[in-house]
Amino acid sequence: MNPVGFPIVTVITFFPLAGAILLLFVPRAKEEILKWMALVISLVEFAVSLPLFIFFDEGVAGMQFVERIPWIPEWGVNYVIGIDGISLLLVLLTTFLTVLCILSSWRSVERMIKEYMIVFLILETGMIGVLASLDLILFYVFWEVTLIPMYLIIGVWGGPRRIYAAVKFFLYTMAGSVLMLVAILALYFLNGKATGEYTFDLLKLYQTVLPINTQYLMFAAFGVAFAIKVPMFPFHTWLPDAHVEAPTAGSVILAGVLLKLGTYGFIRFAIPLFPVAAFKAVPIISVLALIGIIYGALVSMMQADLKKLVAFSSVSHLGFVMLGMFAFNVQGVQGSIYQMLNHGVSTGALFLIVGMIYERRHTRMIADFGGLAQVMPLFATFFMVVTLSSIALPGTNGFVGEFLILLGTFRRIVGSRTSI
Amino acid sequence: MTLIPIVVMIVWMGVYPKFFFKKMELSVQHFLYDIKARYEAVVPPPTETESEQPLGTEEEKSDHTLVDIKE
Repeated sequence: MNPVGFPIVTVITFFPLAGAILLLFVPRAKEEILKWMALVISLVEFAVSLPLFIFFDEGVAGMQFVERIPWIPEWGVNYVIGIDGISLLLVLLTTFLTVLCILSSWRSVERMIKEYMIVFLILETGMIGVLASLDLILFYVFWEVTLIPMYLIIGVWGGPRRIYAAVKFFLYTMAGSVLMLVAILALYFLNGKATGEYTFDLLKLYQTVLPINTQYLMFAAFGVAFAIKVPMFPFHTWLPDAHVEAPTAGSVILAGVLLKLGTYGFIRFAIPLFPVAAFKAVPIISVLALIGIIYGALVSMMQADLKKLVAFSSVSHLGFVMLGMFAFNVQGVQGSIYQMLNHGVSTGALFLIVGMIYERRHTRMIADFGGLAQVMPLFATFFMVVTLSSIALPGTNGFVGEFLILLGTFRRIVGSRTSI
Repeated sequence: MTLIPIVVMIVWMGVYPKFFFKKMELSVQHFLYDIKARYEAVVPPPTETESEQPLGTEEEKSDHTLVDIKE
């Protein structure tokens, strides 16, 4: 039994789904009750996730709070979930941001509130499920569960070009997902043939040693799925459209958590399952990450629309995450994980800020907001702090992540003549 | 109001990152140790004379504890 005394990861994963089912029984006309119920559910979810942080044993390297229940045992599919130091902080980020998203939707979402809150809570279950899954089929199910609610959030509650943006988001992500599904099945059969045990259990599959050429193919299939989700250059074109058309809370959760599912996918699945291919892919991934960093920054500087500016800055920030991860040293990987959190907090906040001023003026053009600080001084102060964090000023979270990534990358370059 | 907890997080994470790093440190070391071991199971490591700086410092490697699953 885990130290909390109850199956905490299962509770955290499925509590929002239970909440969504509860909302089904509330009449559509009772909008205030629906909003309050969604807020209370998300607050309870956040409160329940805090013991994960408190009881997480820093002296243990592997998975903690592991729960293992047979699901379809004849096919080797099990319900296996757990948390380690890499997923812990991302789970907490998810529960934290969901509360803020529901708060930010209070006035901005005016129609189909019941459906909106239900979809948002289902999305939370999907996101936490992806972060906690230790079985490839379970992971794939949760991965798809995140796709549909986000598609609906953009497509139903989005801006004027919402259908175009939602379909583009869906097609890109689905194309990657299908490739990943093929690779999951191939891995299942290859492992079964090699060991005699047909299983989707991630911790068991970690031990499978695949031939180099097979690793290249499998890494490519997983890698494309995750690279689309991150999104890495040149798979990024769905992101600005999705961000611009999504409602404020949709943009916040998309930037804050959903993009991290791609980077998390690399660190949890693609790299440990196919380490040889991952090491060999370092030059390609690093060059694409660098292009993403520079291209994202340059394009964001040219934007007149504040939301597009923040969207393109995400491409740049996530390039940093990928660069640090593929440095394959402690500084780089820690910086990469920290940068995932930083991006969730800072870019999430920037989208909230854009949403707040858009609600008041119904424009997102930077040129329309001259003299904002004189009218809204406190808001402008917060805006400045968040912007400085996004540009990684020392003393803010962004600096810590980006500095560590650069440290890890340079250390990698200096040692690259000799190390793997 | 919504922005207050975020601004607090930004400053907290920027000024005292150790609070968060200590939770992930061992998992990251385990991740690197594990992938390196499995890489070398397929591609043998270079000899001592060829290798001056392996993945992770000696200190990092000695700190690593191989405790896999805590149920």
